[in-house]
Amino acid sequence: MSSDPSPPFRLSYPGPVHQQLRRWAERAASLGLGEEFLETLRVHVRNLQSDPEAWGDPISHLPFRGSPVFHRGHAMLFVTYAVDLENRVVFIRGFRLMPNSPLEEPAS
Amino acid sequence: MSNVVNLNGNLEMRDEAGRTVHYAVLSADQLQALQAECERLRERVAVQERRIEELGRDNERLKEETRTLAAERDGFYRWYTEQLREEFRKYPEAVAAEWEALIAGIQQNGADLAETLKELEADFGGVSPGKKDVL
Repeated sequence: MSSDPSPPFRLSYPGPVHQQLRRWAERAASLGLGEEFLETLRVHVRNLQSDPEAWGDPISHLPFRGSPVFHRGHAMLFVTYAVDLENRVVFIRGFRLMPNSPLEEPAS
Repeated sequence: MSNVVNLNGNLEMRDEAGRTVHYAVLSADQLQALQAECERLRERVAVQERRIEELGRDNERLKEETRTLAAERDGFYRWYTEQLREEFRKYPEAVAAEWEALIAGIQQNGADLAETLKELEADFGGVSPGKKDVL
């Protein structure tokens, strides 16, 4: 049990990413990889909520806000995000699948 | 070796040191059956040994594939990280503007990832998220 009194970071992301995550979750479930996909997302969520600066590899800073930008790959997903330290918000730009992922949508 | 001690289906003899030596007395048919059984067991052992060798080779092949895959992923990750940094270096204003627009959009119509995870777990998962250690 953590004794850290800091509230978790809020994890905000653009609406369209929601549909993408759902499509991947559906596809993962259909391939028998549903739990692996959810666990990947859980690990990202836990670490982004508790310590987003430690979780990611630094990319740069946003000049107007001074917010650091990071990205991180874990298991099935990469995530790119900026951290608003003052307001304890993580702004997620988006997720990306690992190369050759079975969740890639077949070319139509 | 001398002195037959017992001859009742088995042969026991006592040597000069007084130790008793046991011999099995077998008919020709029993000996043949025993030899056949030994041969069968030898073949089974040989099959198992070949299987063990095959599994060992498969194990090595899978380890090599895992190493290759990990190296590919590491390579891709480094390349992707560098691409993202390069975007900031080459086009700082454009990238910053893109991020500002993204954040403004999130602040207006964004979703909460923790809530989305709960929703996906309800729809696609059968396992409680639990509390696992940070990797």
